[in-house]
Amino acid sequence: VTFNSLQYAVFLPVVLGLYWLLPRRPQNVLLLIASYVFYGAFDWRFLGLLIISTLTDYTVGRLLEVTEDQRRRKRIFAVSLVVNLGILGFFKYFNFFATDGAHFLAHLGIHLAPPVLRILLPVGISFYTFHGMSYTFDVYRRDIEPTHSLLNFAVFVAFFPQLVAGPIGRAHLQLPQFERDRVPPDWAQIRRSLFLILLGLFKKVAIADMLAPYVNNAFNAPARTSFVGLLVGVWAFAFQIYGDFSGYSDIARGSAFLLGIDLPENFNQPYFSRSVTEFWRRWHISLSTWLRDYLYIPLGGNRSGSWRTYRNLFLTMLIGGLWHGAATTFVVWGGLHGLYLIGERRFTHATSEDYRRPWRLRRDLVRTVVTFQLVCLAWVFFRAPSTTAALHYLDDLAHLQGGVTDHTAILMLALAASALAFVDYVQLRARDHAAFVAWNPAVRGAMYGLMLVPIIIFSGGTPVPFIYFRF
Amino acid sequence: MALLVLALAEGAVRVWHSSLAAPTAWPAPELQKKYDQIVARAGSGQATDVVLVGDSMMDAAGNPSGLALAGAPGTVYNASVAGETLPTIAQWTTKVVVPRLHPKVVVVGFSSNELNPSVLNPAAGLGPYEHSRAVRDASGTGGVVDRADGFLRRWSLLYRYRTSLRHPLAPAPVGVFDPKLSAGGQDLAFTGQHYLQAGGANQARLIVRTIVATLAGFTIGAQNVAILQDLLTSLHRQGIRVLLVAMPVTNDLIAFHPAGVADYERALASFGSIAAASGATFADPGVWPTAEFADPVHLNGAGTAHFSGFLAPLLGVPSGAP
Repeated sequence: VTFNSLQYAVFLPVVLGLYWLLPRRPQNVLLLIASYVFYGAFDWRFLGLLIISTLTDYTVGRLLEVTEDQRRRKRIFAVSLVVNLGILGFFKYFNFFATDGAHFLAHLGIHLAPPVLRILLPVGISFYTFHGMSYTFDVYRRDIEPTHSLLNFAVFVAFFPQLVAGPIGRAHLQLPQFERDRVPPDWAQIRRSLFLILLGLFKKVAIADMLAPYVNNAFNAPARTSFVGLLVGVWAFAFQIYGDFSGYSDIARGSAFLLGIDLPENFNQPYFSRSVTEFWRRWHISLSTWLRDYLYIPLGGNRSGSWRTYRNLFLTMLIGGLWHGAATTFVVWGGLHGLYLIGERRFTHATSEDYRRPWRLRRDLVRTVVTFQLVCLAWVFFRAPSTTAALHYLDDLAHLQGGVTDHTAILMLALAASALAFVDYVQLRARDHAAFVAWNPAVRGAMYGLMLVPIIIFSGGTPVPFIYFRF
Repeated sequence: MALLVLALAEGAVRVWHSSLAAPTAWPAPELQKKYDQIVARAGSGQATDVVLVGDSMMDAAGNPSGLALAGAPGTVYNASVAGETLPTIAQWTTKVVVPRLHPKVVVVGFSSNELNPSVLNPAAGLGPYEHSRAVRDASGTGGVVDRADGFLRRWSLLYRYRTSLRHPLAPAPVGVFDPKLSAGGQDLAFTGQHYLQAGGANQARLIVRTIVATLAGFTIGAQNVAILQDLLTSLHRQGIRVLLVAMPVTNDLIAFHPAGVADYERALASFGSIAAASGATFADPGVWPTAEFADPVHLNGAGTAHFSGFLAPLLGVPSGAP
């Protein structure tokens, strides 16, 4: 069951219909069953891990509540870290560390033959483990009171709109929503929610899936693609991954609103950023704030001088890269972003508060374009199948080589970029993701039609999975 | 207003659809082209006495007009598909081709590679084939969603032509897996080529790489044998005369097998026993000179003429056959 499948088009209305007929406690029971069915549909064997992670974090929260001794609290908290990171480490990183570690040792003259296991990566494992850990972190730091209801906590961890690809929830914002009575959305809220779902489908189907073949062509055979084709390939990937992931987040938020739950915004017009520092306030916000609050700040943040700050930034981004996947490409991607952030902190006046300043075309265009190109350079490593392939791609790009240029790819990229820029610009000006809902009905209707036409054209066949399902 | 925009889009496609590329619903361009040819033949009432099925080897080698010139009785259609493998060809033959063309004779042309378990990899073709709505529709195994899809295809040109609208500037590229076809279904991509010369070095490299990958770890797969035997048996049970042909090969192709001639001879022996167990006739034309091939695998124009001469005498339709 993915958001862009017909199954979800049936699943969501059925859940909604039953949900609003029930009082609060049975509502949560229904949500938990629906969430486990939703997750189990990917592979029922993964449900065990989700349940283990849920029970561990709930128990740790309860034990932390009744324990005053600081050393004992630390040990209890460590259980949550060990279980969650253990699950994540085994299922996601075992083979990476076994094989790449062996390669590294081989360079040092130590030859090992590590076992390579045939491990299936559970969908959304990085999301729900971080989701659960945020709760134990907050309880350990006494930022929130632990919940006494296993049911409410299990729904918080498994809530199906955000389970497999976020936004990564924060307990202090979300858990109380499952603990109180919910009011059915009024017509205005329903319209906003449905618009977010339509917008998400548009971004996924008409932008991301439409660009995917052109991106694949460039990255699968860079040696026979022209300079223009390679440039189009990497720009197209920038819009593909944005359309794919922010489309998912929009559908997740729209679906959650219909259930009376407010999920945090995960994207805030990231390609309008005027620095990479600002980009990370606008891109995958739930991950960047998680890393800031539970990694960067505990490491010392910017409190201990410039070099410590640089080290903390670099380590945070490196781990952020590794969070995406067990591959050196993601580590290099994270490392590059770490270097960008260090460079901006050292040589420019960019701050994380830049995003609060209104965006002005004449003042900000050049910085926005430069930032976008830096982000695209890092995307090459994120998308390429290996670091060697990424370096070959950049090498081919640098040599301004001739070769095949697909003019349809240029046209499609221009259409996709214009559509996303338009949507983001309207949202940026209005500071509202559903700003279109307040438009004149005729213009709004025309826009819905203009979104539906490309959805019809680019849908059909087996739904293309969301990119972030792999992480 | 949203409906008005949708109606305008539908109207625009209705006005301009004749200048759009034909819509594709099948998972590979050649499957689409062959399906259209088959439906047109069946619709016109034209009899098809002999059907040739197989992968790209038979696709390139089976020339219906050449067979007629060589004295083959009746009309022949080549329903082979390049790039598809044994499990897909078996389903395509039994669920799509035979129920529409009702042939008296089916010639199944394969080589050793189709007996190697590597061709069973779902990503090699059967996966996308089975997941295609067009396939389920044509095979009569579609559900509610497939029927809705068929309904929308019939009533909305915007919906029907959506695959063409995805490539507004250029038609899909023509190549080995999207070939020009003769009226009788033969793949014309190889006819004018000399051994490893034409089609560019890239095409030759691609084909060599593909065949090496297909023959890697060569063994006779039990599942492959079962699929081929089921195919031949089910055709035979329908009263169709079945001929299993080991396609002509080069010495180069035999050398690509990990154990060379020994592997190839094991494959021939398997073909012989599969044919015997399923009521089919087995024929082996053997090794042919490279001058008759476009590459180590596919016959060129000269090879096709030779193959027509070899095959035509074997196609006699016994009297009293259905």
